[in-house]
Amino acid sequence: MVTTIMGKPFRAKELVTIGLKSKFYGLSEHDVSKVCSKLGFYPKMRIHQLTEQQILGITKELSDLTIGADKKAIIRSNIALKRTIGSYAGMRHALGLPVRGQRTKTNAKTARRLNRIERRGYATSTNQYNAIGLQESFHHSEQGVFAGFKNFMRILI
Amino acid sequence: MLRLSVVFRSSKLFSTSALQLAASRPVKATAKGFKGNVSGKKNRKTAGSFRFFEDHIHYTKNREEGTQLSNLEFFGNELHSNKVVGFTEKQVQKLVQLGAFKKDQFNELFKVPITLLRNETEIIHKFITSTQSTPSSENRICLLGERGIGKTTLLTQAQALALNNGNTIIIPISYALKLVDGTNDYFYDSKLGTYTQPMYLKKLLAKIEYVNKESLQKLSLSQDYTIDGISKDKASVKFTPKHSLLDLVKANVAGRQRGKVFQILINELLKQNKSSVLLTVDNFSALTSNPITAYRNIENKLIYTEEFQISKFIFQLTSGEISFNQGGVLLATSSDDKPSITLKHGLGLIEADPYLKESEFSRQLASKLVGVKPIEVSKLSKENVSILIEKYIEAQAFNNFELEANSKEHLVNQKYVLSGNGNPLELLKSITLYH
Amino acid sequence: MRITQILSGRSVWKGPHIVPLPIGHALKTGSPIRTNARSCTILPQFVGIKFQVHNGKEYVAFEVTEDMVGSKLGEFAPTRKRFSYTQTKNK
Repeated sequence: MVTTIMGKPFRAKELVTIGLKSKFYGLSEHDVSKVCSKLGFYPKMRIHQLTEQQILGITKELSDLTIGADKKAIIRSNIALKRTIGSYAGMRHALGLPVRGQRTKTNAKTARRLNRIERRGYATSTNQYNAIGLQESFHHSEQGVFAGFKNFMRILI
Repeated sequence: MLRLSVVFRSSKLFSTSALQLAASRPVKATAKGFKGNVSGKKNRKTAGSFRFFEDHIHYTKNREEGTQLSNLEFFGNELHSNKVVGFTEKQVQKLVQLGAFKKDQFNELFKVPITLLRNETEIIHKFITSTQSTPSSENRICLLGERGIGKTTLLTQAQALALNNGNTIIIPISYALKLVDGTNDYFYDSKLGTYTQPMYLKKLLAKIEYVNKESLQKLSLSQDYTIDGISKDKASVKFTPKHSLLDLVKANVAGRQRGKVFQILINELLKQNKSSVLLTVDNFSALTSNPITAYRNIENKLIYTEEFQISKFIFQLTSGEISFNQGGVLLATSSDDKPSITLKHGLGLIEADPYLKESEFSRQLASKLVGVKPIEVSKLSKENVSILIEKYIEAQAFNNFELEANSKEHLVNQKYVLSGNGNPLELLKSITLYH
Repeated sequence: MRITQILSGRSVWKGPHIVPLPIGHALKTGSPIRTNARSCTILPQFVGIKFQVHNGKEYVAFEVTEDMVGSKLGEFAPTRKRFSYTQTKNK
């Protein structure tokens, strides 16, 4: 059984708190806790226990918050601003190097992979392929246990 | 599926793994989902749907496979110390409802669950006797002791004694952690001024109804009560003094009204003096180890243990703030919980450091435990161990090699030492897991 | 820039790190301010002033815009040169 909340699929047995936190980019544990407390959900409540009314409640609460694509757009615009004013942080983003003084002789793998002015990927992104503009490869991606790993390798190649 | 069953059977014949022999006999597995009452038509011979062996053993009906001990006396009112007795079928039915037989107790070894009458049984017996005549504020005890020492078992004996009396109403909180760990739904009942847990109350009321049917039947309500919003069909239901307490407990009430029903039940029990009332709380230390629950209110602020209806009721009884005309409170701690400074300070065993954090020590909760008598459960004597080992030999719990190599006296000495000088759980483990 | 960002990572009671600079003079004459104070926070009053900030070797010139408020002067004067490989020794 799959329940859909704001276009995201949730497994029936999933805990509401953990499910919401992991599915929506920019939604913190504290945010989820606030939403759940306000709607009167108990901490170990699971997705299949939600009524239609409660799902509407979640949708309403979440629509007031800045999450998902909106949140990503804000982060992108912040990076772009840093670049336009010519600051050091903006320059480092543009060069694809670490921004906060980390070493570059070795390591710096994450920064090389992600740092751009149009920054690729985010730490908790669930829609990584959209974020890095590789939507086509997402459609061709494989299903199965190692699918995630394989798709990841494909991007690297 | 067929192939699986063949493999499973053959592995039974040849395997000597600890698990197979731990239960001394091959376990007939009937798969049950997590709902627990799927009909047994599909007699699957696989390992079942449980992740852990303990769960599988506990939740599948395998007691029939256990050993029937010969010359087993039943748990009655004659309680000679140092004797193993069994529970009758009738007692077992009710004790299971009371949450008595826990899954790490190796009860599956025997067809009839057995229990050892020990020194503490007499204390418990005296306690139950005094609950018949004196108010509950005078009968408040708390069982303490290390893991596996027999606190829950003594609680079970107390419940069985109360059931034997026939005139005791038992209110069982079989696992107090469930009240505070966020596994049950909750809402603020503005009429009661407390948080109510409808899902937990449904189960609790069902248990109270099942166990105390006869006693509740005799008690009639003292005044009229009206409960609104009872179900889809009925807008409200009226209870008059013609109704018994059983009718009240049985009423199929909507979740929002269950707190009120429980409150009426308690108020009626406080007024009456026909029956004695016994509150048993297992894993009580879960309530005291942290006064802050996993729940949050609408503003996402902390909710404290005492703000919940059932927890509040428990602490009102332990403090003696409310008292049944005849009755008692029996608490048992658990070693699973974090060591509770609040509990030990409240019982007067230690002096708490005044600079402790709110989550570690609650002076308010500790003050509610003043007057509760602590009972430290002692270890088994060598005579106790000897008697138990006789029964375990009969139940074929021992490894044959071990039996052949040792005389009984030697075995008793050896196991007494291995069990940490008389810890019942360690004793059982040293026998059943030595394969 | 938000006000909080000026104060971020710094105690509120301290306020932003301010270095005495001839702002009044610079505004009047339009002449650039030559300074070594890289850690000076850019205040709203600085907008429109030309700065020459030391990068360890020379003075890097830039003009402060509204978006720069809240950053430090040093952020706009990079101290390192990017390594580029040269093929021949003589070059």
